[in-house]
Amino acid sequence: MDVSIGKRFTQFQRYAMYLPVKGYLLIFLTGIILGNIWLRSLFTAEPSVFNDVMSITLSVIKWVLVPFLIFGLFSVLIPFALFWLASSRRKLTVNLQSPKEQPEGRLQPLDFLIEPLWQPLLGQLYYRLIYHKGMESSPKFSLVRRENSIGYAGRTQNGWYRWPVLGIKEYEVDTMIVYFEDIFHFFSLAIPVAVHQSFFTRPAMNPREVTPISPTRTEKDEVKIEDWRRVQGELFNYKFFENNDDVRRIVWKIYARNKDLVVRTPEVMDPFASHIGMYVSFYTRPGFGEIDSLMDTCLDFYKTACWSLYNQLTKQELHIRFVKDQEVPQRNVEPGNKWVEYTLAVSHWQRETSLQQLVKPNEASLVCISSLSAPEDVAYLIANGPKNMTLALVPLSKAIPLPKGLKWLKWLWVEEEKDPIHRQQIKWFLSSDRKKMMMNEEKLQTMIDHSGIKQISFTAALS
Amino acid sequence: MQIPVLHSKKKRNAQLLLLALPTALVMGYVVYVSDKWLSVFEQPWELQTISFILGMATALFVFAHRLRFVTLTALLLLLFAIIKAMAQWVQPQEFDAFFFLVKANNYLLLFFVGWLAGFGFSRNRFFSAIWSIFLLAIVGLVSAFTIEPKTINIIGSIAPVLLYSLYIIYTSELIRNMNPDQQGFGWFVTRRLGGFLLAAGLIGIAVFFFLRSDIEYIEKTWEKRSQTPKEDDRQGSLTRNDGMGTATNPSMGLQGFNNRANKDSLVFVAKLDHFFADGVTPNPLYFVSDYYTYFDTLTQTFETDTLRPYNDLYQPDLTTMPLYFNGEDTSVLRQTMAVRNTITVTAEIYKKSLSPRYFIAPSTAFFVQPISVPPENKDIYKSAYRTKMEVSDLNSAYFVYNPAGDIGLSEFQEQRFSLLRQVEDYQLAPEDFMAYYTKMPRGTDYDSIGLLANNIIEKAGATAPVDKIIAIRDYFLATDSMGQPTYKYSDNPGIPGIPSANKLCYFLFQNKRGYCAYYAGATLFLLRSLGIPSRIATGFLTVDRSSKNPGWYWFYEDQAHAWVQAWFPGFGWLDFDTTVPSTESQEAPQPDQTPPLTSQKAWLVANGSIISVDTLAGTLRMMAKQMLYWDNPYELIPTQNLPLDFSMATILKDTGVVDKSNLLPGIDIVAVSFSEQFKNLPPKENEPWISLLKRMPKPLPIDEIKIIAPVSEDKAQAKGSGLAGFSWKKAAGYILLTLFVLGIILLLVPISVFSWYVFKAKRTSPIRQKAYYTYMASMLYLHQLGYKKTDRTPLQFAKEEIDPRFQTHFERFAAVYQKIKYSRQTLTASEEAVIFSQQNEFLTSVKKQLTLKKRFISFLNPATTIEFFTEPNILGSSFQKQR
Repeated sequence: MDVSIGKRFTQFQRYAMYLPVKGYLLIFLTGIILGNIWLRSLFTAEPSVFNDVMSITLSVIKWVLVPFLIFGLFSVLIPFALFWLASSRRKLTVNLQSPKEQPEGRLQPLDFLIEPLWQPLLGQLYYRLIYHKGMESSPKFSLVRRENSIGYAGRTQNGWYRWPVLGIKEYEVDTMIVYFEDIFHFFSLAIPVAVHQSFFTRPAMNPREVTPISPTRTEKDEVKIEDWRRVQGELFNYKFFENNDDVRRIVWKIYARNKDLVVRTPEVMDPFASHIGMYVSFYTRPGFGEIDSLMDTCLDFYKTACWSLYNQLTKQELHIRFVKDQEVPQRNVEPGNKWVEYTLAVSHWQRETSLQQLVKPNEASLVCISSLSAPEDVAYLIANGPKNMTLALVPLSKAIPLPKGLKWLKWLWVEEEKDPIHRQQIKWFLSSDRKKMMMNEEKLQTMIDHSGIKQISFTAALS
Repeated sequence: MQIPVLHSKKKRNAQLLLLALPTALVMGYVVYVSDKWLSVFEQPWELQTISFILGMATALFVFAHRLRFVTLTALLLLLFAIIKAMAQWVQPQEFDAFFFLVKANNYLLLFFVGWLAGFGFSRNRFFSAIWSIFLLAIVGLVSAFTIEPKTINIIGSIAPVLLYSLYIIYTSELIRNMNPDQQGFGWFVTRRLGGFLLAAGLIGIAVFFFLRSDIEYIEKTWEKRSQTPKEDDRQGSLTRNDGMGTATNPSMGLQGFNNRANKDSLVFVAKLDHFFADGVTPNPLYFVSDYYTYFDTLTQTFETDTLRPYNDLYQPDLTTMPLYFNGEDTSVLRQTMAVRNTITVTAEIYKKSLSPRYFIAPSTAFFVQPISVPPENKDIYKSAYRTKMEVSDLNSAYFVYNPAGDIGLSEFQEQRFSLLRQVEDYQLAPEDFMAYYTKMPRGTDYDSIGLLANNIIEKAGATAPVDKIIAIRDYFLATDSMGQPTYKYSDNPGIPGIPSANKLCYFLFQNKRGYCAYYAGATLFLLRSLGIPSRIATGFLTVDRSSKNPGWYWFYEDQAHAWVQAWFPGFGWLDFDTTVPSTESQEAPQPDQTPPLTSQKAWLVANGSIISVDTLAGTLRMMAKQMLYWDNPYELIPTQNLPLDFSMATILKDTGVVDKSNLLPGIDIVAVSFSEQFKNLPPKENEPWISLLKRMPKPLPIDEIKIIAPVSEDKAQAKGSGLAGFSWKKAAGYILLTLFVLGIILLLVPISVFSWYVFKAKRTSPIRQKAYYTYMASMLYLHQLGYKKTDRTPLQFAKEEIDPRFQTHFERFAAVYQKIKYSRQTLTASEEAVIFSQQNEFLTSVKKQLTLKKRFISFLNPATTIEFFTEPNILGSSFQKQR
């Protein structure tokens, strides 16, 4: 299986996706032409059996290939034209769905139902998904047909595909390209179809022991007063309705009795340490390079670390209040863990909300920071934060592990699966950001070590 | 270390069953037919195929895992090297190890090819296309060389491999795209293959019927050609036709006396004016076509070389020479450096199936004169020439023949040898001559040949060069302890040409069977390793079978031959034939036929080109440049316009008699007259040609006109180049021209598409369609100029960007267009007016505000046009889905 992960592509690649002929045909034709030239060069100058037999052989080859090529071309032209007609007459049904429950891991299942769409005779249909406003594309894929789907000559394509996605983020698919390929995969006619489907990939979880964290968030508990008693002149625990009050809190029983519009004032309980305030900062200090694919890998690493931490804490039956540092798209996601998961998945590195702006010192019990965080922010937090606050520094230097000493021995024998991480290793090793990041990370770690504040250390790689 | 899996078991099994199995079957077939052709494959074809299968299956298993190709292949090659080294170590006798290695090389090579094929099928998607073309070319080549031109053979040889080629491309893509999650893959593949075979079958049958007449034509043509005129009743003659055709093969003789040469097929006859001292007994000479002198390290074989030093080969192109006019090059005589025992001999050669272009004569020819074929023989012989050569007394065929135990002949040959024993060394020979003609490649194999040569002369105690040659000749004639000859004649066919060094080593040390080219090639290596200047001569072995017509020799296909010439100071190049006799060749001496005796004399010969022809009246006008009258040559300066009467003439081309319609103005001809009128009009002494012409009857009665082929550059190139007739310059020119035209077309795409929309918008009457075309034209125009809609709605785009920028009313039009698009309401008159006015008004406003340069450059970018049609957000409405 081709595991080339979705990637940003250039302008040229964008047009190349629509080329009606494939490189395979060019190679085949080049081979045929060269072979033909070579065999013809062996012809003798005078009439001979060799010349005649070779001529007729070349003729046979030519006259068998030409009909096959014509057949191949027509076998894709016809379903292509039918599909194009259907789409231009708006008689097309395209149903692309992802399961509501997102599976973990890199393979994102997608269900397809396209109608009417005929498969080329003896050929094959392929698809490609374009996402992020046409900036990135999936690999070209074919569908795994459903058992109960309509048969060979059917007009409906019903099947599924597991898309190997890598980045932990939201995928907004806006276009699907349908490819009609012939018997030998020489021709490939493409039609783009607009689709709207979004899904997000879940961060993976790495189970780990977590140091007990003290809840610091102080909650004022609101208690509804059920009984009421009249005190002369005024009602205890009630006040007259004012313009800014919530109309739902008007006590209609009192209104019925004496026509006073009053609202209930909640009883204020003693404050107590009720929740863990978990702050996750995606802030990157200035000075690092543009957010490229290397940073994307670091981002996924950070999300996985934070999500694992969150999960471990929820398993300890602690109330966690997750505080995000950026606006995320409003989606129909259940509140609670699902919301946190989604928020983490769609968050990205930002430079708008710094740690100082994000964290309320008296409410922070767990603050997740990365190697890209600003040291001055962390220093401020240490100075002003509560004593029982815990800091979790996610070491991004471990996001892209460098090749180990004996790895070359394995490399010599085994061809690893093409993983973008492997491609990035050398780029990462040579990157100037890496050195800066490691220095920053070391600085942050030293600060935390000297502060005496509780910390969660990520010694092992969390990928 | 656990090795990760690349292909699932299902996929691997599919590869084995659907790719490897058919490939093994086809490869078996290819090895089988190649074995017939290439004598080096002397191992059983089944074992060779198994070797290939093992290589392929191993590779398919190995590369189903994520193992690295380069490392494993390097390891495999190392293993091969170890096997070879061990073989040499285990087998102390050098020659035995060599035999083993030749065999092992063959099997290892096939294993390796299988290994590459397995890797290709497993990992490389383009491999199947390259592999299928490779097999197709190989089988096509082998078939063309080996099969008889019969319908069943042609179809039978190419159809299976062609079917396989298409099948393998189709199936490899099918398996490559196989999804392991898909259920019922077996049934899916069966269904697909059924469809493929049906399509292939239908196309195959259609093609066969389409080309049937062509194939049958070839079959009939060659059936006719392979029959000798007077011996049509001879059985089996058709099956003995050589694939390349001796008649047309410039390397004639190199097929040897193999069973492909046709004993009944006459190539040419020659009248050789060379007799023994009694003046009655014919003294035959070998006829030379070419020399193989240069060792090509690339192909590891001896080749002809037009740049050889001391070139004594006279090679006129007879097709371009006018009849009865002489060609001469005496410089070749100096190159032979022969001063002793030489005489000048003349010969007349009448060619039947020998190519009209080729010149063949005993060495060393220096003169040629094309002559007419007597009318009564014109149906047999296509062309003829007279030649003169300086020959050595010592080159009599009786001196050259391999005596092979014939005591009488051996004693006769002693005369020659005793004379040649006077030559003891080559000290007087020029250095560059010696360096070229004794050049011998270096290497283990060649050193072993040198070793063998030294053994041979040591055993024979030979010191003089001629004794060394005799020792080598006798070495091939030696018998073993059982009295059986060590070296045998084998008619096992091979590729025409001198066998490569590997094959010669195989012949010398292991197989010891071969035909003339093997013996000549091996002798050459042995002689050169001993420092004797030598070369291979190819041509025809001359056999005197004539009792009725002394001096006439008949040459059949099976007399094509290769032998060795060694150079002796003073004596020049002398022929030596070391080929052991073939019993087959002596079995069927050919009966004499009537020789083509010339009974008439050409009194007038005129050479020039045709000005005009009147075919009905049988007259033409000719611009004559040269004339022969009563054998006296005349240069006609200035050229003369002569009227000719050709109503009774025979029109000839090199290929034989042709129709009068071939006489066209502008072509070069030679007109010949045997007329009595000229016989009775002898030239006076010192009479100038002008007065001669005045005396001649008008028009001149002509009996024969020969059309002269123009000198073609292609033909000249065809002899040497591997890519005959193919001009890289021309091809590059065509490619550049095609690219240029494509480039122009590509640049014209934007303006063409835009113009089409504008045209449609103007010409279309229904208002909805008119609106559509107007909208498309406007949007494309804006997009091309760099104003892109991106993901905005058309209204937003018009309002936010276009109208403020160009002061147009595009938003008004966009609103009307949206209404047309999304509703069924009829348009008001004002809305219709908007549509009608949009195009001119809008485009004019936009044009005014952009410079011509900007517009021109923008419309040269086809990428923007493609983007317009491929970006769903831009087109917006074209491919909307419907929920």
